[in-house]
Amino acid sequence: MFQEKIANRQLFNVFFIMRTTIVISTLPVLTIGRARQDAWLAAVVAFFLGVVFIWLLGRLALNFPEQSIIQYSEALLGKWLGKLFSLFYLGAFLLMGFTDLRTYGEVLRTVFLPETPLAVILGSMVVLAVAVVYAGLEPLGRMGDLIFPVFTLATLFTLFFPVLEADFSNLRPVLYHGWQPVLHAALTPTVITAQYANLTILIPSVNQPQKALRAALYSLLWSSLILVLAAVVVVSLLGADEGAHAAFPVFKMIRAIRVSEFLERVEVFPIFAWGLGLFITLAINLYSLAKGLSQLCRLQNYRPLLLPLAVITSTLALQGYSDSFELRLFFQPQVIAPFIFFILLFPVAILWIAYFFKRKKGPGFPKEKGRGR
Amino acid sequence: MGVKQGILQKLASLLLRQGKNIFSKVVGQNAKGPPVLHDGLDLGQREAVFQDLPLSTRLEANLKLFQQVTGASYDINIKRFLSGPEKVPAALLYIDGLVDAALLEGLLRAVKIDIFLTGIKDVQKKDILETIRQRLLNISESQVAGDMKELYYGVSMGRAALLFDGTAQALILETQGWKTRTITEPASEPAIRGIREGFIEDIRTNTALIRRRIRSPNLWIESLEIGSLGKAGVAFAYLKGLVAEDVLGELRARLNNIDIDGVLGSGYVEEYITDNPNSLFPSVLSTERVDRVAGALLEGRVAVFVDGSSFALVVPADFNLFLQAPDDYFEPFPLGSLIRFLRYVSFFIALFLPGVYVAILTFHPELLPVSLLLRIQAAREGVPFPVVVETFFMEGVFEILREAGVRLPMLVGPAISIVGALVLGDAAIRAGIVSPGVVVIVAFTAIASFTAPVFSLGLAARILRFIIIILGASFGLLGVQFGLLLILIHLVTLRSLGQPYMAPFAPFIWEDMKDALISLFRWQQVYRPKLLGYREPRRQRPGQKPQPPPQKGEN
Repeated sequence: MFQEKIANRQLFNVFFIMRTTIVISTLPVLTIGRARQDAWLAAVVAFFLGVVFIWLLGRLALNFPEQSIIQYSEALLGKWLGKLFSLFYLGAFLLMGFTDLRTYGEVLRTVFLPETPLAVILGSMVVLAVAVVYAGLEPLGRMGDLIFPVFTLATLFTLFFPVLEADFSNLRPVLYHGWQPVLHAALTPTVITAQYANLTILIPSVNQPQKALRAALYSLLWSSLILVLAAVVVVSLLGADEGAHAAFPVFKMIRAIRVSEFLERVEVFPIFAWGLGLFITLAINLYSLAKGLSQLCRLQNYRPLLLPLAVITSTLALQGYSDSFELRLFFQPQVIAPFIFFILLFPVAILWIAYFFKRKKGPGFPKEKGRGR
Repeated sequence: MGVKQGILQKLASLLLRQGKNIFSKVVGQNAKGPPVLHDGLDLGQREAVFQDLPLSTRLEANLKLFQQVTGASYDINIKRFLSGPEKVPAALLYIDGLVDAALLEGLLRAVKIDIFLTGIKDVQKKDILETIRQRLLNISESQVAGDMKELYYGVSMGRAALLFDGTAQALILETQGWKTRTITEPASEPAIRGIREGFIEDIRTNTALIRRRIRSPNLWIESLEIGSLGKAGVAFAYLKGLVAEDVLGELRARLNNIDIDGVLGSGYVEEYITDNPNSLFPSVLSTERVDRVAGALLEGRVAVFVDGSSFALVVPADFNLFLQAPDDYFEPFPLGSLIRFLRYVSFFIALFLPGVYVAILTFHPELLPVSLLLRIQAAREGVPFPVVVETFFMEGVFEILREAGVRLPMLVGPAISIVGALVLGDAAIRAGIVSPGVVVIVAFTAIASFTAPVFSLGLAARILRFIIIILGASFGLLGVQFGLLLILIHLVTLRSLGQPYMAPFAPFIWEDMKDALISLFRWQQVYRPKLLGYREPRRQRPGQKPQPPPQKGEN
């Protein structure tokens, strides 16, 4: 079958958009935990933790540059155990897909379209994601190319105007409560880095698989810089307490400012940016889910799986959480961290162990970074 | 059942073939037999018989057969005369209006008079044709036809045919000279500093126009004929060694695959070679401009010319190509870039403005500044329709006006603009059917849509605009965003002869951005588009920025 390829640049774009969308819209460094005015520090910490997390998830994949995690887990753990772990793993894509989707739905319902039924908002996004994934991975990568500049510009635009009115004294005192709340607040954004699990499905389709991890880490770096900026801006404009209590702090901030007489409402820009960003996020997760499932079931083509998976995703997004408070509860580190640990980190840890065992034991097993392609 | 049918078919075809052979034998030997092409034969049968009719040695039989084949059509002239000292009966066949009268005159003179003057003594009946061909004629190109098919196609191309009694061959001579339109400025694609010459309906002239601009031996022009009845000449030009061979092979295969009765314009061919027939967006550029085609060739694209059409087709064509205009290149960098960028913006305005207007007024009035919103609402006072109906109505009116404007004879043109602009626009507002805001939006959209340098792209925007209005009216800005993303998804899946349609935006190619949203200085565009001209990427010497001469210190 024709192997679709995406460039490493597109990989960077897609992950940057995905990561930025979710961490900016919910701003977990501020809304979760009690880091308060040290939220930006939490973002910095989350970056370093995220690097470790991504490295754990993605580094193993580089040893199998022609296989996705679904395929090499079977090679490492044996057929049935491998399939079982893959199922967990695929569950993570489903979970991330519908949670992100619901988050978007809540953003829109809260601040922009209070009367539109949630099903319409979520449904339109799912339709778009199915459309692009059905078209294939290459169109998805190209959509990343198209959306990246628009998304970045709109996001920076959103954060630019508040800077003019910000009161940076709100950022003091630094580390008043010590490091403990900062680390606590950094947990959730770190766990959200689970999005980078998509890497393990995408690596076989990347032009230069050996550089895929680097692209992913760069995307985390840039998106973390924007997160730091957002945390600083929100805290300095709204104050730490008001920001922490808002459902979607960046929105609250953007509503609070008034650029000029004729440009009073700039919230269209972040909403537009997050719409584009969520489209990419959902599409990538849907692709990984469908592609992984098709490899699990040894199907030639993942496309027939799309429609059922889309229905499942939208149903779960609609019914999985009853309101935005429940969604926020899910993002609490004590809820989301074990979740992600169990379905994502645990299987990967087992794979690492199996990898080292196998490498010690059997010759003919890939020892070096990758077989030349 | 299947077997039976197969046998029957075989039998029938056998009979048919036998019959044809009998016919041709009859014709070849005895012209007084039954008519070969009786009225009962259908078009396909007639064509089949026509394919296989050899000429006989008897002049009268040949002429009779020719008249049978062509039905003695009134525009086909047959001039009989006696040639040479042996007084060989001869005939000249040509079609009025396709031949050059002066050339014909010279030809007749040669075979009737010069044949005596030159003192050729040994003109024999049997080899008169060869003698004349080699020793008498000064018409450069001539060929010998052995059967009716070659004879007719020669004559139908404006050549003259000489037939002699006793020779089962005809001499086909280049006497073409029909009237063509003079080369004028392309009416549909004006440009301020562009070349004033546009293509015309004659393919030879068109290829000559290109050849004059690109005088390289590597400008190759391949030709073929398309159309079982129409037989239109189709030629495609490219720079050998620059254009990708697989693109060329694909195009050649697609052109050769066409089986159609007649090609009346390049639009016919376009539909057969496009990659995405179901898309609203054009993936083949059709243009009348010589500079556009020459520029495309230099980038490594292929141009297809169709005889009888003043539009050349350019493939592979990407989205960017449709928004480039010659003026971008003839004006220096900042100005050219500005108008290019303006065109991109206008395209999006033409596509989205009415939809966004409807969405904002229907769902998100809070996004507008209060004073503006109040003004719009005050103007809408008394209008009985919702915004979407108003907008739809005015857009519909405008589209009808535009279509009428194209179809109307030149003389009525001003009348329609008066009716359209004054009566419909002004009176509709006064009557309270629509509000001034909608008219402003629709008029602005219309003007923006006219900036598209290629008609077909503007057409896509015109149609999609209505869908965006519906989406905006149903789901607000969310619907508009949905429409935008859906269009983009569609666009990134498109290909034109295998090349991604949205390049250099998606896939993003930084090197090609020099000629995408903006257009840099000519001397900065050192390399050809990466996906097209990759076989010979460099098109000029880098570092040609003009410098002032060194100062001499003379104040």
